[in-house]
Amino acid sequence: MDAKVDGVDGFEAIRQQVENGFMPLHVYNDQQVFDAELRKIFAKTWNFLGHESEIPQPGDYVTRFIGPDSFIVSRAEDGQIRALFNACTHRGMQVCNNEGGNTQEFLCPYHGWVYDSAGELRGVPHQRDIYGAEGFDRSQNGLINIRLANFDGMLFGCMDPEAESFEEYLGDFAWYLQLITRRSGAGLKVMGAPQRWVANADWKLGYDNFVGDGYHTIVSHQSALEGGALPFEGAEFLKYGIQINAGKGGLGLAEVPPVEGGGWPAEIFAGIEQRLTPEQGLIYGMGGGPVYLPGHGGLFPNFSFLNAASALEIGGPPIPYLTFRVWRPIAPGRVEIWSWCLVEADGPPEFQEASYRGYALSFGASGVLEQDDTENWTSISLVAKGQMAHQLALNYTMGMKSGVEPLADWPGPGTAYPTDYLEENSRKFYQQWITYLMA
Amino acid sequence: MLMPKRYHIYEEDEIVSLAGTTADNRVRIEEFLSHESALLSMHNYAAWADLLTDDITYIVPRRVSRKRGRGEAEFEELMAHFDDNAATMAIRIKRLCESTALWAEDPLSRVRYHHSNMRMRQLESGNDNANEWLVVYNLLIVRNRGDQPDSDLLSAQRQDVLRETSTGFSLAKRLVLLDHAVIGAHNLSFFV
Ligand code: FES
Ligand SMILES: [Fe+2]
Repeated sequence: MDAKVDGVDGFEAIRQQVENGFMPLHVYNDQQVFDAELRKIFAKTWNFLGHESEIPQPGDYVTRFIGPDSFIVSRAEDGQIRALFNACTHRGMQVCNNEGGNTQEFLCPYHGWVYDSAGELRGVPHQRDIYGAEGFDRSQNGLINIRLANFDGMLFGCMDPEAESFEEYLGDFAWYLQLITRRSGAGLKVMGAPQRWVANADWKLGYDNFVGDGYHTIVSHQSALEGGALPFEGAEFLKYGIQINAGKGGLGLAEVPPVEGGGWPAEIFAGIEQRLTPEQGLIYGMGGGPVYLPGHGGLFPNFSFLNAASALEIGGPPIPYLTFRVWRPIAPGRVEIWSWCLVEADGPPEFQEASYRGYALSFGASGVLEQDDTENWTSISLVAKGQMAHQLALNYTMGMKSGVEPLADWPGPGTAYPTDYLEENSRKFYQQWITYLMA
Repeated sequence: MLMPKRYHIYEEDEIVSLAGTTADNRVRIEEFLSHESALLSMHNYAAWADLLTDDITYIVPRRVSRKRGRGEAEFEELMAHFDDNAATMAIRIKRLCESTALWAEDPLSRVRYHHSNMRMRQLESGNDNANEWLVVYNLLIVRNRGDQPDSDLLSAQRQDVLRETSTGFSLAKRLVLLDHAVIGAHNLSFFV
């Protein structure tokens, strides 16, 4: 129980605890663990970078991060989107030091090398004189492209040329992401730039919470219920939800509040039978059963989503909203939270605006739900820094001995359980986490 | 369909060109804003709510770091840290006044609002029953909490519209133009 992380032996001790449903507390604020996470997880996995609707026009770009590494996600003149390592090949200067915009070129301020929006090196001041007529091949000195995948508009990048393809990586979780990305024929679009804020909290805590913690809602978010933002009778709805893990992701489904169409304008769903399989359609009640919100979930290592609903007035109806998350690791016990709000691109503008306002009321740094979430994760990460954190293994055993069994007739891939008060998704997350660390 | 612009940022030359104020009005307006911020510091949200108009808009837009000289918008129209009207403000205030589970504010934050460089101008938008004032000023918020030695700092320009009726001033619009693209606090469990 007191294993310091010290090479493979330390990780093996952690692996055994994780296997048994326990998680040593120190891993949420530990320099050795953090360094290993950057090297063995973030450098090897597919990471969410943004959404293609953020850069609709040629020349549009946004600057994004995988841990400390910065990338320019750019739509070049050819219309193609690339993820370019934001480092000049001459001395490593950042060629872009702002969050986004539209440009034909990235000019390095150090010596003036110029790259185009595809990352090609276009200009080197005094090139002939200083490198010789044949001595320098610009085509070999462009910005490094990392691998990029576009899943229904969601952009993922991977720094490892050897890693599996995104499709393999995503695996069965695609079935569940499509429930969100294919709800409307026009797909999703972002509402502005993602919010960003920092917390003295570990990145894993946000992911863990979004992927598998239906249990905290009733206590952590009691105030949102009492204020009227959560337009439900109680906050126990996830106890009767469904928890699923599939491939490298997991999610929880909750039955939508009993309002017409789940609160979405009906036109958003027009033609959905063509976009989803009949089995996927069952989630949206197309077989006559209950309608579910693909409520909360995530894809390893640090992409999360939340598809919930907020009232916009006391006693008002629930308005669905959607947020995407990246829990960007900054340092041991420190995270930068990136939070996008997305809407169906062809939804009525009034609905898009209402959905965004419900999101802004409930989530983000000021959200009447989220302000209490970051409070929890900050407290845990503070405790994790101490020596006693090596003696405490946190109890993640919920559902291991309760007799809860997977649903036998579940229409989707992966394993589904008839409750979302369950720590199965969290355990799966930490098993994946330790497997990567030990690879 | 084009939605109307959701807020207006007064540019400096616009502020300068509006009519000025008298010393008497300045004292009354500064007094009002000092009282208003004191209520927030005291977490007296019930009294604070009484100072808001029924058509209040309270927006703290996301600031985006841009390359200089390209004229790209620095403030997002449809992404903000707060984007409230009277109905959503009522939710925030009911929660703050009635909930017994305000974990992020237990213990209470100590939030101090520092106002400076204040300019105020009467707006045309008033009528016979109500004057409207644009008040533009710098804001520095220092939030400390618990026994933590470090404080959160937020720096901004506020552009308020105050409405003055026979019963006094109330806050009709608050637009907070943050100096931060990334918020350096784990939450905004207080009003900015
Ligand atoms: S570092 Fe970029 S041009 Fe020299
Ligand atoms: Fe939460």
